[in-house]
Amino acid sequence: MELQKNGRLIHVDNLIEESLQQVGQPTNELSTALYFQVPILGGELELFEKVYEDSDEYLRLPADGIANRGFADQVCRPRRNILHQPKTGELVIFANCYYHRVVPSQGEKLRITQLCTTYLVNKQIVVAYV
Amino acid sequence: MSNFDFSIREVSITQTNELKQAVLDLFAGKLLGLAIPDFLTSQECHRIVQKIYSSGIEWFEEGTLGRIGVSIPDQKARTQGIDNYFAAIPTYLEKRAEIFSEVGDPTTKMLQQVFELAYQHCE
Repeated sequence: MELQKNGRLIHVDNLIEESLQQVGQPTNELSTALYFQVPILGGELELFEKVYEDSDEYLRLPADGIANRGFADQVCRPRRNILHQPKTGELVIFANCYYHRVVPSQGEKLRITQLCTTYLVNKQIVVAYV
Repeated sequence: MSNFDFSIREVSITQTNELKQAVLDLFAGKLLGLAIPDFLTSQECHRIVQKIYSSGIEWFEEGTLGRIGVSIPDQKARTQGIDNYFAAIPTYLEKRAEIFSEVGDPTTKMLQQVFELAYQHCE
């Protein structure tokens, strides 16, 4: 579960590739975000019509050592995008191989979410809390 | 890309057929996203938020960036390795049980009311 105000850089979630091969042969990875609280302004989920390519690596930004890592904005230019304004109590499920980010929020209210990655292993749904 | 629906399809939890189709489209790589409004009520969320704040938040930046439990994307978890992720899970599950003790576990609800509609059709 995450409490967040500053948003997230542009990134893709590839949990399968990064770390979970050891649990089986996972496929069909998706991300889920359940919003317990949303900020008054900001906090939108922005998705871009672009998937990760190895050639994007030169635009990867150095990790800040806490929670934010990702790519420079140019990685998704010029690409179509969608800005989704989450609502309290909403569940959003999306294809996390597409670049996405969270817009920084304003005001005192933090964005509070439960984030999961779901995927299939031998036709069983597996949920990884992230 | 021609068959790909680059949108976030909004479907109510009560629209069973539409929900099933959306999940199948997600798994098939034909749809970008699915949004289910009011998956939890505002009252349930309010109670959950109260429980979260009383359950011991791990703050990376006081008041602006915190977490409960595990967070694979953060640099700390990545450098410490996946074993630490799994080691942290039992404690996290205990905290989750307390946080959702009054409203029910939303992950169970998600699995039962969203994914189990469609998963048996997936390869």
